[in-house]
Amino acid sequence: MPKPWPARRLHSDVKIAAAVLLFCAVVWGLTFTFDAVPAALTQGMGPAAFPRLLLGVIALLALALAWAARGRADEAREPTPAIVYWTGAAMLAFMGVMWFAGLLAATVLGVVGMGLLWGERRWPILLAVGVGLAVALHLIFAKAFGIVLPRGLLGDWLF
Amino acid sequence: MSAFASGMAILLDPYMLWVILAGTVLGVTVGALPGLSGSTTAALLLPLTIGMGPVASIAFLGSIYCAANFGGSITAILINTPGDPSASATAYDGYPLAARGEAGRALGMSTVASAIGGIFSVIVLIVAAPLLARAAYNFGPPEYFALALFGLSMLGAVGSEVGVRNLMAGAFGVFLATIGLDLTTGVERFTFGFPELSEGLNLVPVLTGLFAISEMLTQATQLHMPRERLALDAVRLPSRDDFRKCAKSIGLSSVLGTFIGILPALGATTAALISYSETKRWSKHKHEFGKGAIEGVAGPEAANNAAVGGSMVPTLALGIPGSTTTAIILAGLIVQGVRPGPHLFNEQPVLLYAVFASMLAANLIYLALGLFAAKAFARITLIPDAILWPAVFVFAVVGAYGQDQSITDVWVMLIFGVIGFYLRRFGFSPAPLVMGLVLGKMVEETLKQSLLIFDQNWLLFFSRPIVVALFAVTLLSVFAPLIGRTIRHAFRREKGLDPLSE
Repeated sequence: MPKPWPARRLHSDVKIAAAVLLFCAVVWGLTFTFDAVPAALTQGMGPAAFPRLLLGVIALLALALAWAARGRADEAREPTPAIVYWTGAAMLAFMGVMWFAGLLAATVLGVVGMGLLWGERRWPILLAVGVGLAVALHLIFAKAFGIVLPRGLLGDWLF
Repeated sequence: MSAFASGMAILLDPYMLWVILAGTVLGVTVGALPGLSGSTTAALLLPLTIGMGPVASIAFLGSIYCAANFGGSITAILINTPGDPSASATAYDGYPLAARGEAGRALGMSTVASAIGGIFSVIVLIVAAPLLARAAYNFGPPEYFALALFGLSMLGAVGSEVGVRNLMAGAFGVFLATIGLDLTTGVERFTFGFPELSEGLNLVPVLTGLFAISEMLTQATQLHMPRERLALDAVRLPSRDDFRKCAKSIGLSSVLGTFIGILPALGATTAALISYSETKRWSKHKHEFGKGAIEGVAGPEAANNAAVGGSMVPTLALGIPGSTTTAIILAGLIVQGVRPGPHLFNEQPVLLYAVFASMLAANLIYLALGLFAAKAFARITLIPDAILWPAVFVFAVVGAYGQDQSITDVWVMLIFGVIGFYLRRFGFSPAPLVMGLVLGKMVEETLKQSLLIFDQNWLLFFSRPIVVALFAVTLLSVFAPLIGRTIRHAFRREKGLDPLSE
């Protein structure tokens, strides 16, 4: 029985170059959606010319990256661990809590939640760090710098 | 002379001394924390500096920059994990020294070599920056365009596919700078209807996202990796023998580090790596390298701290950042309404000399801290990641929000955090992107102004000798690695070897 052809895997740099070229093509298309410039202002480079020039440069560099991949061994890349996605989800959850209950509450919950997610089991320490950080942020940013920290829906409703 | 004296007089101001001390302690602390580099900290603390005023702000950020490079060596020596990327070469010999019970000797040498390199480069900065600024005083838009292009081209000077990746990231950074209103026509570009984007991307959230958030996601991938921590005996001054052995490498690396720092885009990490190999090349004890050579600690540490002063030369004299951290410092100055460049030396000489004075003071302060308090700083490495990074995240959120008190900026930070994480994962560094973003406006503005001067005739760029010279070195820095590689391939082919199996 004839041996099957070995599956040829594309070098990851070639895939990156393809993705970059696609990005350049899409953004190039977006440059056609810019507002029209009045004739009196059309002296010199228009608003789309410089971004297009840059997209051309990026596309050329992407081609150079793909060309440089010839004969070069591909780097083995481990899949992204699940904890990265969970950390991303925790960041989004932080934004949600901040929107609802304000920054200081989000700080306490965020430090405790992310700490537990990252494997710290001494929750009283996490709670102490969270509360300490919230107090420090309030004193430094709200009191000393006069920045209005996000109070959230709950804060607006209560105060 | 009076400007010099007024600048130096900030060292008599208790508030300024407090700012410099705080910056230095913070710099050593974060430098000692793996993952939290000087650039990440500078990006994180940028919002804090907004209310400080230009002099205190740049003194604070400059002190962090000086001290973080030294702080990185503490963890490089004790846990074989450079706290700052610029200390990566220090770990090659620092960790083996610590492993055989000589951590104090290694840290003592690292402290002294760092301070010598740092002070040498500040002296060069004091002398060279005004000279460079004077030379650049009559530069017009075409010269600045060529200069910015040269700065960006240096991103590719490291050669091979890494150079191409850096150039791509740099060009992407320049592209991001086009977001917002076009200055000549008032047309909105890539704002997608968000009024917050009309003035372009805010630098603070982008920098915080690219450095702090992407680093946090990267740290999440390394949670399972155990860190071995070696005990630290008392830090001691290097012995006379050590000094005799290392004097040449400290001298060579201080010069090399300062020179590499001056070249735009090449910072402390490149300086340390090149100086490590040069120290080894010129050493009489080559066989000791990698096994605990004290010269292997002295060389890179002198170089990475010398690069700090060096990289401030083009930043202050020309407005072209010499490294990632100086790009952030430049962003901090822009936020303060100060645009560094040759005119600054005439308009605000006191500010510049105050910067020099604060950097000099920072070097002396971390010399004392390194010799007397390194053991305390080493304890920082005991803070668990699970406590440190959630706190960094919260601080990053406040930092991104603080400047304009805008939640959109926090979302921008998160988006750039994800972009930075994937850039790193696919072998791109976020640093060139920052360089491109900071220089982007200058590139576009000077190109458009030049074309107006030249009546849209591109060829007239070549009528200006400085522009031609800068274009030539730009081409050289982009293509020299490629030419070198082609010559190596031809050489291998001639020898009957596969040119691509290099």
